[in-house]
Amino acid sequence: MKNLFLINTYSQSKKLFFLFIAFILLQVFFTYKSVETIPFFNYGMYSAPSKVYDQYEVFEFIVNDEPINPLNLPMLAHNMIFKTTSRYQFLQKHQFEDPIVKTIKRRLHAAMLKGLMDRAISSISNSPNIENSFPFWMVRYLEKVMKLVVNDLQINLNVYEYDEHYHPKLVESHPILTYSKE
Amino acid sequence: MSKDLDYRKRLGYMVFGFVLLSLVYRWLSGALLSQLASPVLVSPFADNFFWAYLFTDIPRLLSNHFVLALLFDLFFIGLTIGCLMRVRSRLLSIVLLIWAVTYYVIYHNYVGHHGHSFLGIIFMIIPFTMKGDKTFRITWEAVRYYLCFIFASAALWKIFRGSAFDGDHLVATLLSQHIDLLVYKPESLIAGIVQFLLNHQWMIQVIFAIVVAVQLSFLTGFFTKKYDRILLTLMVLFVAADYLVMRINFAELLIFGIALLPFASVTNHRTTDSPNELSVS
Repeated sequence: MKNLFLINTYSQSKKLFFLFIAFILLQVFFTYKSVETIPFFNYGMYSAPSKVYDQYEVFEFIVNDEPINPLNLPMLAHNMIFKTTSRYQFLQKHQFEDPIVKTIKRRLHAAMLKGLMDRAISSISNSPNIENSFPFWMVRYLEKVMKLVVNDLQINLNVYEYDEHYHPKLVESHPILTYSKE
Repeated sequence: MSKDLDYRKRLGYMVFGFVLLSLVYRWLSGALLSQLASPVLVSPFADNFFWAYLFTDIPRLLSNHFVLALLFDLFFIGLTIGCLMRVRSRLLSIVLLIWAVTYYVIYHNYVGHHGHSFLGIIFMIIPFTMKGDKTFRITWEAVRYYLCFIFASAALWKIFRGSAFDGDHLVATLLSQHIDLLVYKPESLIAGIVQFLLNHQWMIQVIFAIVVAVQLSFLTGFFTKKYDRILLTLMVLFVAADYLVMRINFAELLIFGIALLPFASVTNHRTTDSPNELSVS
């Protein structure tokens, strides 16, 4: 039945037919490679087998010496602060040397585009200066979404364990970012 | 204009109306470009398209200058309203598509996660960029097949990766997904639902089996349109359940559901291009 659609498309518009065939083949390719390149997306979220861990990490945001509840923010804003902090922490673990630089060099080298290397690295990767610029951005963003002035900000990484009734218990905490306006 | 040609206008009102609602939601959530406070941290991951866009420096230029970002957002909203008022304008639809893709790349680059909920907006604009009613109908059908692909492939990923048969998979996922909710809002309704499920894990396994079955059922959409109403209902229920159980908001993906609506079927309409019906199922 699906083929009937393609057959009819071929009779109605050969251009669209070949476009669809190319799209299908490229989608199969990117699915096989498990990578995404617009407009070829993979919908395998939450399909990789997960395992239960002993501990789980949650970020804590302390604004002007008061912990905030990030779940009181709109969902997209809450996602923004959690996911960007997670990326910042990832870069922190790599001493703020963005690992994507190696991939950029490999891809451009393979594509014989060495001349564009410096421009690509500066545009596509995070420079080590992100260590200093990110806290300033987080403050600006929190001021915008929370509509208050942020004089002090601390972001902690809190580690939790679940008890037998699946209530999380805090086991340790350490700061990953500290900012003060003074 | 004949009544039969009004179906493109009707579909356009629905699609562009939905896009406008999405933009209003994003504005209220502080997610338009001018509301991101000049973000600095880029996350293109391995996506070549993101790389190419970042290489042009357009994302940095737009996001780092508030006035430019604001103009971008206002133009985005104005374009959408323009498409609503002039549904048959191919030029407006093409520009809106470019704007939507640009927004998608810039927003997801700076949010640090390449989510999929906005993709429906992008794909559903595509048919309206087509020149004639014939190509519009063909691409409208193609978008409907893409929706079926989204859900069916999601099920197949789970089957081929083995998680569909792993009784502990959704348990582990819930523990990881909801740690922040259980820490910050343990008294909330959803936290209560999650803890009830975690303490009755056989229910989680049943739910997961139902999820995979629902997603797999979209395979039928490749062969017949007979069950489109059922698929639409399942899609709405799936999105609602995803929000309640996983706290993932895929509401914007519901725009794809317009392609499943009964009156959206293009097989019952004639066009000025050809007196023959296009049989597509």
